[in-house]
Amino acid sequence: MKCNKFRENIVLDLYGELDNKEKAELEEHIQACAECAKDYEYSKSVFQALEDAETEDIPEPAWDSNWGKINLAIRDKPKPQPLFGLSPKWTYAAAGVTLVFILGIFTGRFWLPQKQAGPISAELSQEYIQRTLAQHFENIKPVLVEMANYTAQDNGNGTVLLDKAAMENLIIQNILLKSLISGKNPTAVQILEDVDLVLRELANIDEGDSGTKSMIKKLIDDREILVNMKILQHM
Amino acid sequence: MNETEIVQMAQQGDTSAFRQLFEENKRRVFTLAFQYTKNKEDAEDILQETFIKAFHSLNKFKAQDDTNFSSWLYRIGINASIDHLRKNKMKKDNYIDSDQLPSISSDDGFSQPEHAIRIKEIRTKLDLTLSQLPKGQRMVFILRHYQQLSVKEIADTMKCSEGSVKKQLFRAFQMIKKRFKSLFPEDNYEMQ
Ligand SMILES: [Zn+2]
Repeated sequence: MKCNKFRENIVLDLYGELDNKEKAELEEHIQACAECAKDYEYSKSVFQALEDAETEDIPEPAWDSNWGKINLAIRDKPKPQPLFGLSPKWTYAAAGVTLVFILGIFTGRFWLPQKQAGPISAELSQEYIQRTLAQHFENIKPVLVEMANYTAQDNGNGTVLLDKAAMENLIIQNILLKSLISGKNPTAVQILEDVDLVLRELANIDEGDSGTKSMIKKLIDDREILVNMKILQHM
Repeated sequence: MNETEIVQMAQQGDTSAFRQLFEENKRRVFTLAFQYTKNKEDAEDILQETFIKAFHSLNKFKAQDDTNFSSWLYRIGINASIDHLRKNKMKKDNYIDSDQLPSISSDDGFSQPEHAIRIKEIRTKLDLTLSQLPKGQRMVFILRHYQQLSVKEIADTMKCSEGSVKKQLFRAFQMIKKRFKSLFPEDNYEMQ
């Protein structure tokens, strides 16, 4: 083997990267070659000098401010959310999607032309409507609670990542329910109309849009949507 | 909750899970970036870039036997460090010109201040030398010497052969040896 190869192995030996065979060959060569022996000694001195000077202080950055900037950047452009594999909050919304489907079958049947005109809900039991309404409120509540607790200071922190598809399904469900109960339950209709406003705003909001979020919070507060929902569910 | 579960939550857009990943990996990424750039502000930029990039490509990450989240993130950190320097040329004023430093004889024991000056001289000389190395060599040296990754780990992380890592480590060290000659004035060592 030529000296050049041993020069490389001298460095690798300092870093413990030689196997036993290579190490033995290197030692043997150094015994016989003055130049490589000299390089070996000098390399060891340089390596030792680096070791001596090694304990360099790593500065302590402001971690929170760095996270703040990262958080801002990842909130500016929310990741497109798949409908499934949602965060726990959104399993509610996903449950809503199934409900819309069921409702669609029911209402679709009543909307068929051969059926005589009349209130859509005429043949749906009051009990079914109540149950569907209660389920719908359960689906929507996490979103409303989250928005009601929103403060401009924590913009982004802890707020739901809005999933447009799930939001649209909630809107559709809301509309369907409204037509089901129209003329039957004015209190519930009023709540659904308020919820409709909120959902439409939410469906069009961009993450980080603190102005709209504050506006939605005010809407939920002013119209006492959550309170009314609770009252209705216990009637 | 294990790392895989946290990563899965983050992949679903859960930013508090992503924050947890930040907390667990921030120091390692920042330290690497600082050792590479020798500049706190640059290292903070790289830290942010690394996590922002990671967040946006989170769906591409799949835990496998040989890749966990930390090493996947580390790779992004390495690339961000190298890319960062490409964008912002190394600031010359981060480095003291070696000619301005007093030459300290090393032949007998140092008093405390002399020792401190010598340490400073070694570090400055090393920083200056590293700043002038090709980026790949520089990164390989940082990863092996400071981060203490093995040649094999570096090859895996940088997606190149072990032979190429060895060659780059050797070249980086040879350059340091050449530049350190003035630190050993009594040694009449000649480079090849
Ligand atoms: Zn030789």
